[in-house]
Amino acid sequence: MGSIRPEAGTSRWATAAEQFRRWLDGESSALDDLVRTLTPVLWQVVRAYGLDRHQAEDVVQTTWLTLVRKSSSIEDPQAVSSWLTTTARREAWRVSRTTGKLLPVEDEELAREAEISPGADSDVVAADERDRLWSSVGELSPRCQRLLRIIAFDDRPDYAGIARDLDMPIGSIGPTRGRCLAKLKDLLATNSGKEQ
Amino acid sequence: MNADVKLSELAEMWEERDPMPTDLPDRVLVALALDDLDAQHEMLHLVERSKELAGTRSVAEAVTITFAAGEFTVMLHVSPTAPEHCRVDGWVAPAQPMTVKVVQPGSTRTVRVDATGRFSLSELTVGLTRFVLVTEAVDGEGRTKSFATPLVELS
Repeated sequence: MGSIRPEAGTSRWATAAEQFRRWLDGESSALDDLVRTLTPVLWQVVRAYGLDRHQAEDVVQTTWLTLVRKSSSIEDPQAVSSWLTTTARREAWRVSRTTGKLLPVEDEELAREAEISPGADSDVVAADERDRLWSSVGELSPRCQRLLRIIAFDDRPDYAGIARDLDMPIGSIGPTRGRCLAKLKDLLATNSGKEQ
Repeated sequence: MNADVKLSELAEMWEERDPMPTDLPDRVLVALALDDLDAQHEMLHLVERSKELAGTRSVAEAVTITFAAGEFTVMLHVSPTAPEHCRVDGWVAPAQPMTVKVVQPGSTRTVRVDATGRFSLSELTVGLTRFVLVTEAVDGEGRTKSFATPLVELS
């Protein structure tokens, strides 16, 4: 059993690259480590496409099966994370189109109400801030929510692919991301004002 | 005043509010272990999964799961029978004779699809299962075609 959690100071991407390299070198248990490192990331990327939980699990599984079958096509082990997130995004996009869904995640289990039990005072403050962030993100446009979620979980965001999925020109991804973050900042300011 | 929101804060928020199912990595590993790397299956994708409302809550619910790849679809109706066992009735479309391989950790069962596109499996053990469907018809080069579902939890 290798280390599952990245060492402090080591990014998830560097850990994944190192695990992938060990697997290519013939250490079969390194694949288990890689799956544990990146499955949480793939889940987030796929859920950004509005798939329900069963469909999201299915896409994550397909992504890993594809990696094992096509591992020889990855020339640079360092790029394994972006290869996986790109494959997951493509598959999620395809599935979301065939099922006619292209909505932000708004499931039963994702109530935007605070449900976190408060602990110590500092935890309460932190939980309050997290709640405000969560509800403010929920007020962003579906496109902003999806774009930010995809970019937040990508090592090397593939702007060309993201642009195609979101039906936007490549050149507008950067500016749109900036506008989405600015809008979020405004919403946070408004929402924190309301409570005082 | 609020500072700019960092993408890393957003990532943490999403991981906290919409986390993956905790057993997902384990399920992926079982799927990888059951994968037959030599075969060139076409991957079937989950289209729909619906529960039937049973009359009483004490009876486990039957589930209908539909998978598709292009024009090909397979529908699985899974109904619980004895504890730890279930019955699967399947329909493929377009209807054609096929062989279905039912792959579970440690065992494989084979059943035939009849000309009307139906097949059934009784007394199947519940748990993680993968279905591999192979055509009898061959293409121009004499090859059959195979379709594989992702790993499904039968219960």
